[in-house]
Amino acid sequence: MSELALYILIAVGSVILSSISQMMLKISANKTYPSRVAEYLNPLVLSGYTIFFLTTLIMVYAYRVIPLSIGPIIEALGYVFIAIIGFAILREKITRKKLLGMLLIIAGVVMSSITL
Amino acid sequence: MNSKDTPELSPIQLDATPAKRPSWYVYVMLHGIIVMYTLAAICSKMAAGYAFGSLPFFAWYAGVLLILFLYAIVWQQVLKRLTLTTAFANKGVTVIWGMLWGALIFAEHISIWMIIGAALVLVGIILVVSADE
Repeated sequence: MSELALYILIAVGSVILSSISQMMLKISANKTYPSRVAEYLNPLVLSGYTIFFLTTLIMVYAYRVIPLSIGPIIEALGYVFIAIIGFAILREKITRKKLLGMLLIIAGVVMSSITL
Repeated sequence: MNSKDTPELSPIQLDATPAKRPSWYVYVMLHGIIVMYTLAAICSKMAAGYAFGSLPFFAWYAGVLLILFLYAIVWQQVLKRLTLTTAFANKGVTVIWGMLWGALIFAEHISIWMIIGAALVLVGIILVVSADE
């Protein structure tokens, strides 16, 4: 594997982790907690923010090799991962229209990446 | 343009379509915060140019965290005034800003393939977020 391909995969990994952290915060937001403090200081929220913090570091590491111009394009995969995680965990529906959008995002990311 | 007295929506009504069309300045606020978000990516790329743990690395990385913190606060305010669909569909323009900053600041070559790929991503984002309506 080329160095560039490896660092693109690292960026993709960062987006996956970021999507997981966002889903953790979303699940936490839908729960009821005994107090205001418990809304923030609970394992879900704390680990969610910790993972998000780590993704910012991983992204800096990825930018050592990948150009800035492809960064936000790869980050758009977040829409795809969030839909998949939402489907797997929260049983959120993936309509045909949504699936088409997800496939277009993947196609666009692949096209931009392999022609770098 | 619309009148300026758009009522503030409570977070409970987040998913409801605002009764009135949001004022133009809500969109200025939305795109202002989106551009600010892309500045965090510039700081990430700058930090990446320095050794981990060096002073300039920490300075640029602190910029990343500061921008993301401010972004999170303003984004919540934007979401009170716009539907999630509108907000996240508009956020797709970050792919254009990324190419613009990459070319202008880091002298990156933007190929026609990347532009086509970014266009596919943009259309995909609009389909994904509008499917939730």
